[in-house]
Amino acid sequence: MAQDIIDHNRFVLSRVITMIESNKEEHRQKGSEVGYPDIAFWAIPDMRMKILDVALKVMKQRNYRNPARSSIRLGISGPPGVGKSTVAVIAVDPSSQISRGSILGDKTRMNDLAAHPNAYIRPCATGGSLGGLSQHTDEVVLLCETAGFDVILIETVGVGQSEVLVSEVADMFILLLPPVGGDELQGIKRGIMEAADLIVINKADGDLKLLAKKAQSECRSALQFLRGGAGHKWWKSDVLTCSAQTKEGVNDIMSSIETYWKLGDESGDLRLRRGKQRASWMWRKSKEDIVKMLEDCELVTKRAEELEVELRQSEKTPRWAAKELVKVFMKTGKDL
Amino acid sequence: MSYLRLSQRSLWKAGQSFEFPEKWAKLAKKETGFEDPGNQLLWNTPEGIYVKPLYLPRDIDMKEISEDLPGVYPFTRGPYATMYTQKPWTIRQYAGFSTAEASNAFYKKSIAAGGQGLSVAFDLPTHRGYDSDNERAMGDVGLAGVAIDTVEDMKVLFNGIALDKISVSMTMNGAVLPVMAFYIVAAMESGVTPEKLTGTIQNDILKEYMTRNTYIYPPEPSLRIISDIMGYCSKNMPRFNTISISGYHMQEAGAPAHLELGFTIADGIEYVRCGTAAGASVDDLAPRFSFFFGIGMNFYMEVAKLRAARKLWAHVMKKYFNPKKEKSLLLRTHCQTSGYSLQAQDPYNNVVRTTIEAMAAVMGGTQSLHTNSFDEAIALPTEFSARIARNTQLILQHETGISKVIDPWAGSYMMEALTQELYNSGLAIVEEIEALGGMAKAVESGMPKLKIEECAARKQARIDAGLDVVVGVNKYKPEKEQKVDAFIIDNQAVKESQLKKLASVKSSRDQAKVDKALADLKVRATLGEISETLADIFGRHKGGLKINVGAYSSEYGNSDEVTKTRELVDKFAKEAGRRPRILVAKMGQDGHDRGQKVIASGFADLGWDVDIGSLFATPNEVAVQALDADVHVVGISTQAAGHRTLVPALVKELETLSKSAGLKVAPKVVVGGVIPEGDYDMLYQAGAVAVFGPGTQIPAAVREVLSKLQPQ
Repeated sequence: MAQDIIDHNRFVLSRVITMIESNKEEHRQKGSEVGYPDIAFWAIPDMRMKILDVALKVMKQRNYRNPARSSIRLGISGPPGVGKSTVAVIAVDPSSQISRGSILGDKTRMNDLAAHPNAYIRPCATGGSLGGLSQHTDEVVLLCETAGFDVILIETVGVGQSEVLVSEVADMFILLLPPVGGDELQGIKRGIMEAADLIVINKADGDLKLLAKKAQSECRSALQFLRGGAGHKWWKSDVLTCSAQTKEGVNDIMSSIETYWKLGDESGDLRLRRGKQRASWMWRKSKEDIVKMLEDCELVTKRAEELEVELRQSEKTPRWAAKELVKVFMKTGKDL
Repeated sequence: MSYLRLSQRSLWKAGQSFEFPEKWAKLAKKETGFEDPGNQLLWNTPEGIYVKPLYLPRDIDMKEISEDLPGVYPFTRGPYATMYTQKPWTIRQYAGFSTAEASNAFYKKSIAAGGQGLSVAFDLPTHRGYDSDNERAMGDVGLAGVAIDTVEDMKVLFNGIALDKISVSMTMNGAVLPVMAFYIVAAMESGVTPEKLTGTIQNDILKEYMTRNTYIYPPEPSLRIISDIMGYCSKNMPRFNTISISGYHMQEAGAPAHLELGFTIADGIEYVRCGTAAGASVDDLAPRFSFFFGIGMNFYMEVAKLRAARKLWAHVMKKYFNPKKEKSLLLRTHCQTSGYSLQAQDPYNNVVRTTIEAMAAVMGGTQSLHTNSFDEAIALPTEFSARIARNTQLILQHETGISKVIDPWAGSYMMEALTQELYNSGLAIVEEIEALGGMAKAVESGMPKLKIEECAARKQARIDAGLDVVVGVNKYKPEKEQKVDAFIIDNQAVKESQLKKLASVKSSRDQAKVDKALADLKVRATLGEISETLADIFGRHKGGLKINVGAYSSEYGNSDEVTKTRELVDKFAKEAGRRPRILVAKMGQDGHDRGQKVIASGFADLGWDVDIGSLFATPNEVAVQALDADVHVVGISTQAAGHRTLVPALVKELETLSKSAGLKVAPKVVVGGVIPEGDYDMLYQAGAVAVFGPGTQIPAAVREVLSKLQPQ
């Protein structure tokens, strides 16, 4: 089945992404017994690790032979309604905090791309993860890469910190902004503009064209005071305008991306960046795993219920209660 | 009990309170035991208007209304001085199905039985500019209306009908150029010159982007087509209404009265601008405008809506365009009883609903009226149900005396107050649209569509929660289901007949001439060829997509029903390792997406991951999306009978594609929408695991779909 992915069987890729995203412990181990009898590979213990291992190895070989031939990963983010999806592919949509359901509408927002036989679009729910990415986005990216897609777009709907997080799975982070200026621009956090390798003002058509140009120059002058370009020596972040409707300015963006890709590859910085990203995902995942273990541990949840009562009656401080919980957890001696 | 809940809720929401006479309040307190009966019995309507239990002289501004007369500006009481007392409204039944031959026979029969004008329904491929032989037309030929591909079809459609005497209303917006041209050429070849033609072309493209989605081109070229048609007709067809500005489809899509009113009037303003920009004067254009409203079950509100609409149109026309002719200020309208209010359960109740709605339309002063047949929530009307629908109007005209008095509700404290309130909220919407730069800009921003859809999700939630009672559906359900005969069209047979006719036209014409002058219809270019030629230049419009999350559950609240369902969904998620995932898709040329949106919003609010399919998809496109996203189930929303062909095709595609990828489990298929009883078996046999008719409660649907997914 790993071979299937390598051979670009998109529907197998789909199923594998589902397994990777699964919250269920058994899916990592014995998929064949839990409702996915069709894929024999699931019978292998700890299949999730296994498949990712294989994927990583394949990519390593491929990149080793020809570094420039690996997929370029573009992270795209921006406020809702800015027109990101006229371009994107692994699309992460927020899940509701209350019902935990989500609307994954991306394919319809990308009509042209969706109809293209070579484009694979996979909307993913955040599944309650904060920060606009799901827990597994890096793994999904790796799988798509293994499947041989040349360009991988990771799109998130940005509010707050998610724009920065998307730069943790991408080689290049492109921030899309609506044609607004002045005060509204102030509202966009500096940290986000700082992390962007390229800023694109979309909707530069019709009545909004002038406004877009104005926003462009305001953004440019704002960038001068910021670090810009995520601190690369070989790259200076720029601000471009485009119209997804008239396609004006799209070529400029394409050539900017190509230049970035070429320079980044030559400097060796992109390989370094991916390495650092893997390290930060290690931390992210281990934190999330620990939280999950804590929440799944019966002794902990039982003790927590008692503590909650005491906290409500102001008998103990939250700090003390937290220490107590960790103590209970450590005593279980769970095999980490 | 439910009254109390409703009124307390509405009070809490808005903090609204009114004063009532002390004497009455005391008596009412005694009868109800309520602390503040007047305010606790308030009815907060979906329009955001508080209907009071008791109206008083102080609720109306006598200065505002004492001079009102029918036929006199601002026409609140009616566009004409004598209204129905001299001549009743026109009975105009919308019809068309299958082939031109079959529809022609139906029209002739209905004229003989008392119908007074024709109203042509075209099938969906015709609306969307496809000939019957197009791959995308596959499931829809001849189903929701008549299939017209060529001038020859149009000639057959009106064969033996005197087009200089019988007025013809045509519901056509997207493919309006070829259809108008076919109509004119067909008339000319039967010896009737264009200036003698009477009738109406709907030609209202803006509402298509908001609700019905039977557009072809993007807004800009579409508006140009409209102004070209208005220009041509004002010169060559002076007796023909060049546009029918439609609120009906907004109401069908879920808009309450104030949105329907405000958006429709704002559409009208945009069309005047669009025509005057092309060089015509407002007095050339506006007198040929007609309107089209939907009439639902909220009786007082619907009467008030028509009164408020006339006043609002007269006022805004005067304010923005200051026309010289008084006729330019007149709002003349056609009305249709609500299709949305019809229910598949206990369907004979629909005769009563339609009668009440027809009364509201008549008391509101409509110029013509279509009454729905009671079986239209299930299928196309049969000969029998069509007769009952027509008779409903004949009885109102001849047996009741209703038409003997002009604007009978005038002077009622309630009606005058309600008219004024609706006028105010309609005006506020018009002004909001103006501030956005007009309706074309507003439509582009997606604002009207989103507002309407939010209301639709809320309405569905109120019905599912039993807050809005629908007799025979969520209360007083019959013990035994009432079966009615459904009229089923043999899609395959119609398609074959159309293909034959198309082939014969294509072989008998001079192909070189056609290629040279595709726009010149006298050489028999087809509807699809003309539309594609234009689409090459204009492009085909692709709708965007925005979904309201939370609108459904905010109205439904956290009832036991919702909590119970969410628990089941959570349980599934825990067992399966991910949330249940559904692709809510539409196939074929049916663009009614209210159902799709409501289902998507409801399922997401109940804890599902929901993918949404594009409009006008083919079975293959839906199957690929389903497998790309690896959904558990594909939900097909169907409104126009295309499911008979398209659902079996989808199941097959899903199986073939899954198999080719080496997957043994293909996503399941469920179907919901307007589905005749008789189709259920056929759909189950084709492989659907669940079928839902109209009026299905969303939490119940969620639970049933889940039960089909439980791992064995």
